[in-house]
Amino acid sequence: LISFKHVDAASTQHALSLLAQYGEGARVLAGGQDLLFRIKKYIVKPECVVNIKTIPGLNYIRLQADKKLRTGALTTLSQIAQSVELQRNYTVLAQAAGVVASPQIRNMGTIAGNICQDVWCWYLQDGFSCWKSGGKFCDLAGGDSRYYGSIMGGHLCLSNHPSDTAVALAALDAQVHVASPRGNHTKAISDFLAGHTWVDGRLQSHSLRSDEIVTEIEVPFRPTRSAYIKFALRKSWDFAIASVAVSAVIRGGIWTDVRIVLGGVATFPYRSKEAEELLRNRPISEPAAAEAAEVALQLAKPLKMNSYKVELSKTLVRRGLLSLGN
Amino acid sequence: VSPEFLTVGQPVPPIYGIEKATGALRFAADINLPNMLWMKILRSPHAHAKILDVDTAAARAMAGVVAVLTHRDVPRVLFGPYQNEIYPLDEEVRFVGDTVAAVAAEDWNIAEEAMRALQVKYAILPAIHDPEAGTKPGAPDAVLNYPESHELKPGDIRPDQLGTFGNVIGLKEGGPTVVNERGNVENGLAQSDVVIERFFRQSEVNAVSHEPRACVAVYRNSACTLWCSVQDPYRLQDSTARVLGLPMEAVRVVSTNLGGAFGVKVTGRFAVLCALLARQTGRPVKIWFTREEESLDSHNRSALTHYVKAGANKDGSLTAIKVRTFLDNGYWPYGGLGQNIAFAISTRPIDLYHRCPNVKWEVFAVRTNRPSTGPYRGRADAESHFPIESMMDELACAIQMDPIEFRLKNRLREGDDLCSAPNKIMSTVWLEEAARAGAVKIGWQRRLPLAAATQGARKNGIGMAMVIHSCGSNPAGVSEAEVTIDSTGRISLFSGTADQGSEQQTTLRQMVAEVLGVSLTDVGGANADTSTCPFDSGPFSSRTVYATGIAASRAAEEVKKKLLQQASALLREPATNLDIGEKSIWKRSDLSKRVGVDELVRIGGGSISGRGIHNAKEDRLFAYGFAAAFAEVEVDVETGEVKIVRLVSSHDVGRAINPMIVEGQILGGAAQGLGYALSEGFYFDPRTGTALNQWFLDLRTPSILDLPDIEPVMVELGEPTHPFGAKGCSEISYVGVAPAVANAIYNATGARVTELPMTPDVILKALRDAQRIEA
Repeated sequence: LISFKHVDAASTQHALSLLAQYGEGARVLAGGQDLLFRIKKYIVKPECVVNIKTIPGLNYIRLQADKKLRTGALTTLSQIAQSVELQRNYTVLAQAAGVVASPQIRNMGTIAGNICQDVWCWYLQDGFSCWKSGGKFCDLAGGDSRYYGSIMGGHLCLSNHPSDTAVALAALDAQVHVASPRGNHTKAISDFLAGHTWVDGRLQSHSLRSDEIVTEIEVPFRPTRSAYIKFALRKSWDFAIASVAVSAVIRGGIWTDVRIVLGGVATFPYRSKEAEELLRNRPISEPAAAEAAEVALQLAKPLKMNSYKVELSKTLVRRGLLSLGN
Repeated sequence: VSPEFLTVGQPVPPIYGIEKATGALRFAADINLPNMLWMKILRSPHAHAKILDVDTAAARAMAGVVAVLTHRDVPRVLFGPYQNEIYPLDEEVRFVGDTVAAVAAEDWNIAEEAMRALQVKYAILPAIHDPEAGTKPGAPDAVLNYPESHELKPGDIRPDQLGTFGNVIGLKEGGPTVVNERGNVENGLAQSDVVIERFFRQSEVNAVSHEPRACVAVYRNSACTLWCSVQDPYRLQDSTARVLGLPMEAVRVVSTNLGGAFGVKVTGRFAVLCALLARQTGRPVKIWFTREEESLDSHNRSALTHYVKAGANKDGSLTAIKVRTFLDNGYWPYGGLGQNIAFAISTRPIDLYHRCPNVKWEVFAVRTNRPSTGPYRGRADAESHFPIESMMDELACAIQMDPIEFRLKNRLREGDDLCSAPNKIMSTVWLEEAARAGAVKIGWQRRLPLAAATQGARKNGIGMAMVIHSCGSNPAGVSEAEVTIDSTGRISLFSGTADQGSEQQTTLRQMVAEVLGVSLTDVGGANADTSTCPFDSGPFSSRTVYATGIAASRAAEEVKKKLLQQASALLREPATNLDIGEKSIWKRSDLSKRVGVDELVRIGGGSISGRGIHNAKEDRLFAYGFAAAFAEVEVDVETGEVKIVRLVSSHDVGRAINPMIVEGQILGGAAQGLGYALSEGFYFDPRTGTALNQWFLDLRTPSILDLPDIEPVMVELGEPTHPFGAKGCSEISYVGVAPAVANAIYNATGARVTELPMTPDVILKALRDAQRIEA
């Protein structure tokens, strides 16, 4: 393990000033489930680790009078999974949080950390070229893509966004609250996670600047039914080979307002607005669900070893939609 | 429960069971000594290279770095489990992860930093990444440096006979490593009613021991002690003595508690380097592998390809088996591991189907620039049973015969000769009994015809596989044991065998307790410490309960005989009239005529001891284990998911000395076998040879949520060559799972899966192929 400074942030402002002070050399620690592995493997070499777990008041789940959900950045995945109110009103999020990794990781890992996590890729290690470790091409592109490769293309890095909860949040139109020295602001999750992009010299899977932190995730209330289906090799401690988050407002056997988001297959939570539109105000039926599944995957261009994910994802979309009932 | 015995047959908890379950048990990594240094190994980033130079200046200059070893600093001495590993450090590196240099420093972090500060210049050499490609004419040599001198044992292949035959380990130009041939396989195939041809591919797998290897070495007064997670302490003692130039008795190896060895924690480079650093620094030195090192610097079950043709007649007779197997031997030089595995692959399934008249099974063990192959749980049989048991299932289906009856018609029987053990005769074969008991348990009669379910995405099926594995008798095995009663009346068993996680110490002590008529808690002792225990070649081939059990029982019998002789003289009664038990000896017909064991020990001069030995070479009758695995699956044909509904693992165990431990072994083996079947693979980049998924997460052993309630069945009909009728059974439950699951998938869907692991992509492809053939 390399030596680095570790500072407990006393407040959001304190955290921001530390991040500004150390710039490129700073990393944010919340649950540590993603960061510590990367430090141990010399993938990330921070000069200063800013521990935001010590900031009071960032761990909460609040349902407002209008049922809008506000959850603090430090809320653990276990808390989200176990919240009865979330299970009832934001089923897809509670389900997704409940199938992240293992119980131990869910007890430590936070919701903000889960959406800000970096890729898990077999080629992000010594001996391979990877954009994230300074390489000039992606060895995954022509390599073993069976589990972690995108089937939806990508910019530079072709590794999937690994988060479960981000897929669920995208199906709920979540907003991410960001504390920034340039002024606090909110971003739609689809803008927050838009594929791998260069931010402050880092090829990131999220758009957070190096001097910013996530403080809250806000989810507007819609009277939806929702579900998350994760397909993985193991029932515990595994990333999704493919997953789907669906939410829909259903009235009298008719889909009125649908969200379809795929996980494990793209460099960001892959939302198919075309498939959603196709189902708008259509009666619930298996052929319609299958049609939407076809449309959701119509842009797929799999890599050498992951074409099976296309059919698999279609099945998950169809089953996810039909699982919501009439 | 056996009414005729007191302790044998009782499901008593293992002696360290509570400690293991609660985390109190200590392992090699828990040992910390005052003034101890930490060792780290620099590993090769290249699959094949020659080291031109190692610049150690920067590392040596770091505060806290005490010693650095490169290939220039170590004795040029052969070592390893077969004394054929070339030098503790060599100038040639032969796989990504091979050992380049070692450092010792004041703490782990400094050692890590120093290791990273070593500057190495390599000349990169051509490498072999695919066994079949390695056999082609003109293929580069995967390994250049061979041992120059070597004490050959009969049957060993001489290294100078190898160089001209490329990368194939063997004796003849262009020939396979081994070939097992009888009858005329081409004629047999030509005259068969049904012939099926298939190609099988199995991924490499790692044993994924929970405990990464660790070693602590102390060198003092020209003597060296190693505490090491190693399952063959006597071989490590031998290797360390060779490397340090010390007499054997100056090296003590203590095999610490093992967090799962599974056959692969054999004498390794890291331990002899640890000893060298302890000598050089004069301080205790410790190494503890990371998970990645545990994956790379181990012995894996090889990647394999099999080209198989087999025939049968409509009357149910198996007519011909023709197989050509390519085995990825890894860098391992020759002899020992890959060669022995090749031999067992080509012979043991043929022993199982002894009635088959025409056989030709060639195995090419090919050196590649990969980590070494090795004896992982179910060695050779897990490798060979997947293709063979898949073929048996398909042949039975083709001739419309029940797969159980088809196999039983062609099986091995008691008294048959063995091609896997020349000049040996098969002892008991309770295979039919195990198969029938398993069939009842799973409800075999519920099994529907092929692909009977037409509706729905989820199809159910039942499949089975029969298995043979060496479960006790291994021609290379020697076990000694000593039983003593000291002046305080303490009974001790000393055995050199390491407990690799299967609780053999409990089982062995149960046998000693039974012979001497005492309870298990009365028997203490020590094991796997080369300074206090007699020799044992180690726990492999599931041989401990059988072979060491025979030795321990003989030792206890000798003690008993001495006690009876003395009691006979004292009580003036012939020994045949006396009974022993509860620490005393009495006259059977007059319970008042009695003498205590403590008194006999005192009269006998303060202690009584007995020794026993078992040497498999002297046996004519060989004991093998047999099993039948049954799987019921639900295949989701739209996603490729295979859910295991039920898994029955039925075993000829001879007799279960401790049914609780036997059951634990059956469950553990089946769970690992399920990983081999469905999720585990150890993958390498085909261009560079770099491991892709050496992390715990990505090796994908099944989690508790992925396992069904595995249902063990123990058939206890005895084994006459063992004093209590036991056979080993710690490995065999692994072997049958993958083919049983594949056969259940076939039964459910009509799709034949010929690749391991059977992950969703593989299943979906097999389903597509089956549809294409149908169309």
